[in-house]
Amino acid sequence: MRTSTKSAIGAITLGVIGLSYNLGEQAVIVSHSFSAPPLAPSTSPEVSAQPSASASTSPSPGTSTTPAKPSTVAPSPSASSSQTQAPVVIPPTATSKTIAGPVIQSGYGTVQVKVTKVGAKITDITMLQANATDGRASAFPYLVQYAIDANGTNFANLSGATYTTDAFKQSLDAALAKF
Amino acid sequence: MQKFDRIEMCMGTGFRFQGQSDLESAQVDFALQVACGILHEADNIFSLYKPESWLSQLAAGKTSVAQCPPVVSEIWDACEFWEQKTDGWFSAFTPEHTFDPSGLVKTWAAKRAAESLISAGVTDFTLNAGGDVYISEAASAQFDWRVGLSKPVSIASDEAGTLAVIELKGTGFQAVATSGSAERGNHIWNPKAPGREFATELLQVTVIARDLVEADVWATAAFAEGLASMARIDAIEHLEAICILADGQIASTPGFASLMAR
Amino acid sequence: MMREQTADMNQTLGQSPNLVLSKPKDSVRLGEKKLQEFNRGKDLIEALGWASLIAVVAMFLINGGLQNLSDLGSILYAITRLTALVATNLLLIDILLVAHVSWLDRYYGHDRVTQAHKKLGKPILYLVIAHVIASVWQSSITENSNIIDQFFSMITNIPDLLTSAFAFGFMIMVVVTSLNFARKAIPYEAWYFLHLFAYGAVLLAIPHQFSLGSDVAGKEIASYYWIVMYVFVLGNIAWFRIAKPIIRALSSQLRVSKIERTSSDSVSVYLSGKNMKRYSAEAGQFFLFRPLTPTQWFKPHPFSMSASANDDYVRFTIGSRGDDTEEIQGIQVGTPVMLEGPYGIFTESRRTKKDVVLIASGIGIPPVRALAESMFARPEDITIIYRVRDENDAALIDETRELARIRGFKLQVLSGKRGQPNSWMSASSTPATDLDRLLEIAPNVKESDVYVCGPTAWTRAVERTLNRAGTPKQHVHTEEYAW
Repeated sequence: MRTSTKSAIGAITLGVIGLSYNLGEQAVIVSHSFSAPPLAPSTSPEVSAQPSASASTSPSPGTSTTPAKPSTVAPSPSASSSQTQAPVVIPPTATSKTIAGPVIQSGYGTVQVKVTKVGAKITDITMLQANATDGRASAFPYLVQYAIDANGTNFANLSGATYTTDAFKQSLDAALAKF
Repeated sequence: MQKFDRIEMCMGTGFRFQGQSDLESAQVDFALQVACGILHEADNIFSLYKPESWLSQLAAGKTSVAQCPPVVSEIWDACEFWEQKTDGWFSAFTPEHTFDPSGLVKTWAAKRAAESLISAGVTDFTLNAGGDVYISEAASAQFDWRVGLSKPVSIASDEAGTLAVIELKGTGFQAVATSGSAERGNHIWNPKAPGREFATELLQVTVIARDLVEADVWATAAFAEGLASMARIDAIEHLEAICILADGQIASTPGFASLMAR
Repeated sequence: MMREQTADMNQTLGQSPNLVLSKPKDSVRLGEKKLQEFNRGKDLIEALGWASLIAVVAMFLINGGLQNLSDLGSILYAITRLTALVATNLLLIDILLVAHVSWLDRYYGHDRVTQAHKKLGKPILYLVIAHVIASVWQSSITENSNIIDQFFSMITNIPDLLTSAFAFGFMIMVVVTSLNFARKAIPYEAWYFLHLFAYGAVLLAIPHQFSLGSDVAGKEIASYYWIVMYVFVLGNIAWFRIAKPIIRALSSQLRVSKIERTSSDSVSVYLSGKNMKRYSAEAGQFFLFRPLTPTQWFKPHPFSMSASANDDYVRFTIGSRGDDTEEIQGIQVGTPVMLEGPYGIFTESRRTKKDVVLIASGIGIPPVRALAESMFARPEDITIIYRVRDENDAALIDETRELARIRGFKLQVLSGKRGQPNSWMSASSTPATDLDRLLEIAPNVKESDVYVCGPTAWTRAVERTLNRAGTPKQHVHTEEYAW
């Protein structure tokens, strides 16, 4: 390559690399710390050791397909007559790691997820389309990079699982999320 | 333009109307009153926590659908319709074989409340029905079209926060509904499981649709079905969804990515 | 070009009454500016190649690839991605280089392009190895397993990774068998066969790039970029290596029409057929010569034309080079032959000077002889130096003499054993150096375009002398005969 061309190319290269790096910085995802789901003792035998907030027993209709089982009628081993408790939170171990996740087998193929955590913060979540069978290639989640709002208030409404009256009031007090 | 922001506690949760209008504030107040009246009326008819409600009576065998107000029959039909549409994953029949449409009633009532607002001339608003969000077609603020998706923990907990923010302006979508176990523990059962056990594969599902009831029903159905529901929902037009698995991983329909707020 | 038979020739050419000459060019553009066009073209091609590399690095950076490198896991993840992008891009460039692409050949010549291809081989392999190790290692950290187990777990659980593992294996094999020590140990045909697995490596790696590549999967722009790259490169290969030669072969149906023995160890082979114009080549260019016989069709050889291209035949003069060129010398009249090309920049297109010195040794004579026939020149403009072992048994020596006589060129035959150990000339009675003798033969060599064709070591010796004579490098044109 001629010298003049080399210099021009060199300058352009530096510019492009610098710009790309800058853009990359802004693309980084920072989220609130994301804790593992609470592992409270299950209240009924069918429920495996998975998240279960204590069954809410306050007079609130389930917006779900069934009222919580031990709600009003049957006595249950859990402290069901107490008011709604906040779920027990088990803080995650503060390891920094990138989880190139295990492959989830599902009826339509496999999904693999890479979650990059720094301490407890998720800094990058990418989903990978490992395989999709049955011609459902497009029916599968593939690579998504999240842009998570840093402080969670830049929206008019928050959609979540139906909250109870008490929870609603508590959160309003704490002003954690804008409703 | 005058802004309004009204929270109505009903059905054991909170309904929030936010918006703006050129109408006189008295008019707007009245329209909101009417809308909230619809919510309370539905609560009185369908609440299983009120022994005197029509549905409680129905469950206790003291009356029949024919004798109930027409809305009961309407709801019953709607439940059947959705059970078919979701291939059985949404079902209003409990493991005890009682009819419990409460999942549908909240959003159904919210939808009717919103419709009543619109017909009263208040067209620029959003309604958050206990975590299920509806954005009116004429909502003017960009801000109104942005919806945060909650992390699968209770909003009252210290860990509460936003998982993602979606932006729906210009997409044709107007409703966001989330099903999950964060607030009330395991309460959604899997209608197809042998003993109708609780569905535990997912922590949370959010469905984005054009209609609030549609979004809510699919969110419930998807939660019951689990991860495989993503593929099912992807095959349906004008629906997108995202779910969080029990181990914290995330899956979604491919189109969901384009809804993420930039 | 038209054939012309001068009255002179028929009278004086007792030995080769069939020497027919094409009309030489009637003009030539000289001057340094002529090379600018080539330089611009080369710069553009190199800039595009470089741009492709920068593009993939930029994609990586824009995706936040270098952000949050906080622990071993995230560093390995970044390495996995970056090495994958750069290696794949380089690999695509690498296979494009040997696709016998006409527009690369036009600017660089076959030799340079092949050299570049060889140089890229090892770096690409290193990058790929780094990629594989980094990705398995990272995965094993998070899965808390040892690397070996993790490797097998990955290739058995994640579908596209199994094919990638094969791609990896092929790559290693291809590069290892192409190292110097290996080339010496394996016969050419075996090496060539194994080298084709490189295509397998490229193709088998594609699925996992598009389904798992963090900087590709689900990213529209990146996906389009890679699709375009693959289509471009594979398209060029499909056309230049496969489609074009076959189409031309079918339309021209070249066969050996005549064979002439030109010396004790060389023959001239004439190929004729239809639509010969399709093979129009510049004097000095070569073709890949592929006899379509059961034992030879997979072994193409590069041969320079030994006469200007004309409408009736293409001629090659083939000597023994120690490989199976002997077999080719035994080729029968009527054998179909497929030609690929023309290639090479050993042509007048690179000439910028009025004076030209053509230097050939032994079986390097064909392109020189062709150039002597077709170059534009007035008498005295061109000096030919022909180094032979025995001038009574030298290929094309009579033709060359005749050409020189007709066109008024000076011909110096250097025949006999080598003089001094490092000399490229024959022994002489005086103790003069190669340089002195060269200056005597071609006093203006410093201001001439010099074309050199012969065995590699000999060519290097000539180049050294030319360097000492002061001939600038861009005016020295060589044709390698060693590959």
